[in-house]
Amino acid sequence: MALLEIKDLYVDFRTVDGLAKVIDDVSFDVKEGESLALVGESGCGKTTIIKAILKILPDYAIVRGNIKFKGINLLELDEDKFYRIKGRDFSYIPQEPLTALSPLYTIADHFIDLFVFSGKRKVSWFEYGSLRKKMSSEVLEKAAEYLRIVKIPDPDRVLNSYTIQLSGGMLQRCLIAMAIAKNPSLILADEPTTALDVITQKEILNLMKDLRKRVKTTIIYITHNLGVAREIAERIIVMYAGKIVEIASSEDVLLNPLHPYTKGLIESIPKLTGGELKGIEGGVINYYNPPKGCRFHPRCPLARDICRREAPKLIRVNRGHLVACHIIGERI
Amino acid sequence: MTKEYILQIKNLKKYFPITAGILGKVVGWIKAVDDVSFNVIRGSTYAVVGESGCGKTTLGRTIVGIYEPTDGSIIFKGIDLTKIRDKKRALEYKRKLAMVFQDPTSSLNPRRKIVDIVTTPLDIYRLNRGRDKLEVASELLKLVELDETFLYRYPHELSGGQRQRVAIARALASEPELIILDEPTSALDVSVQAKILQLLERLQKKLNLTYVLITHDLSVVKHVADYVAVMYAGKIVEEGPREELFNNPLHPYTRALLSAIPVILPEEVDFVSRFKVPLPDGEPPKLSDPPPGCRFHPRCPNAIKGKCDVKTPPFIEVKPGHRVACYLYT
Repeated sequence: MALLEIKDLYVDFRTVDGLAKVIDDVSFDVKEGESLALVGESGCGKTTIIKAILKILPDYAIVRGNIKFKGINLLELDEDKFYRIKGRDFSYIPQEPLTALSPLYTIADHFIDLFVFSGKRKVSWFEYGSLRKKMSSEVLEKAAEYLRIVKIPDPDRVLNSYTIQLSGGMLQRCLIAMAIAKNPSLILADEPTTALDVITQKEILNLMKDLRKRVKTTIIYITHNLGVAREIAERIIVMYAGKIVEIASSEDVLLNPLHPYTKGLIESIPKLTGGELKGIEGGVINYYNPPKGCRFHPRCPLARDICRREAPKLIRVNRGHLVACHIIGERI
Repeated sequence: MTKEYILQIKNLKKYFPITAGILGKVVGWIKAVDDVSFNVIRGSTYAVVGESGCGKTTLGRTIVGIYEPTDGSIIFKGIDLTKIRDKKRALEYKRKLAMVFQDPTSSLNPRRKIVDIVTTPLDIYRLNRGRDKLEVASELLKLVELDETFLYRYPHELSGGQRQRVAIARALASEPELIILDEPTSALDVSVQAKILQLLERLQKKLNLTYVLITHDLSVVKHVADYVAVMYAGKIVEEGPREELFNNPLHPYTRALLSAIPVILPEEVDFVSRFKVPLPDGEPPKLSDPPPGCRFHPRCPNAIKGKCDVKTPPFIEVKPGHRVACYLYT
């Protein structure tokens, strides 16, 4: 059974300029124990999906559809129950460690708060004080242990440090330690290595691969970098303008891409072995008034009449290889 | 073919003071660029690669004159820019040197129309006499493949790629011979990045431009650069022609950097795994307090005790044009 099942998900943003249709009819499954990458360029809605799963979208977002976790529809759940599931099963690794952590508290404080607030919607001041006292020594012991797992050599010094005293790579390790400390069944990682240098990025990716072997968890990994996705994920979902255009094993996406967008994207990436860079004509799409039919058609070299009229559905091409394109669909 | 050096950097240093107390007493220096030398051949692309905080942006900014160099010389077209005292003459040279910044959203004034943005250099260098501003602006936009409808728009109405095109048009306004490109595509998506790189290449051929490309992305370097310098903690550790540097990287840092690139194709994986080196531990040093000797030695898997941690390695030529600062090759 799928651990997470997203079906017919729509997310609209109500803004002063009108209704922005950001996520349009997205469905996919996440199997237990797999690592899945959501890939797409900036503004394609990958972060919005993660935020919809965690219910941390702003108030002006309208979410419709089904997000089923272990068979329970999260969107229909009442707040308290949802927070209990979220606290027990979900972890989130944000993109920018410096903005995700507060500069006013030490890493130790962050760890304690993580456990104090876990699974609760609200904690009163009185409760907070007593919980903190009760939990801190136990949590800090655990924190030191997890910091060692993410290869931080001197956990005690790091625990007593403020964010400005640590480098980006160190902070990202701390965030990963926090994410795995609660033993979650699903980790949602939102571009955790984008803000880092290549060598640090490689270290973090190696670390996450190691961790996946040790603690068997499911990861949804968001990135705009297909190279990073290849390193970390078994399966890749390619998104364009709020829609899924292709789902396949990472090998198939990279070596045998079918959708014109995926092809264009791969041909745009500078390769170390040379070769011409193609690029894709045109640019960002307007979410207030998205193109009719296939959202990629204004930039697509293969576009025909049907693409301008009808939105393509995801069709199965091979075992586990799905693509949403009229033209490719016809050829098969 | 004789090689003409359009730009020669000699022993360039840029230190920023660290001050303390109400009197602003200088208590230390951040050595962002420390004794850097290189030559750029006219019409070529010279890439400076390094991780964030290695001083590559400071280097670019010092060359165009945003920062006053602490020491050393910047010889542009045979004239040492650091020694020109006559302001008028300095402008004559400086207009041949332009810069494109990393993030077009913050480098374009949001309150001015595109037509005003791209013609600003004309006002600064007083090149606008007898020329119609509108005409010049639409010519510039044509060069970067934008049509005249953009003239009266504001930067916020444009996409990232279009904004970067405007920034390039502005850099071209003073008819420069050398352009410093500071991470020109880092803020853009890959499908747009490819288009901007193509444009830069076309412009280089058409206008016989020389580029100094500052970037952290080695895959981009592989595509556009003729010469590559690798910078680490304020110093150039290796320099060479592109093919030579990518096929035969020598410095342990360069090798680590190459092996860490996230790649997608099997042949790239083969290429990268040739440099299978243990990833260096730890992090780059603070530029205010760099380690003695080779700045990479605390992280280097091949560090020689009593040598690398004592004296700065000399920058030696191992093959024509391929230089490296490492004791392994002396």
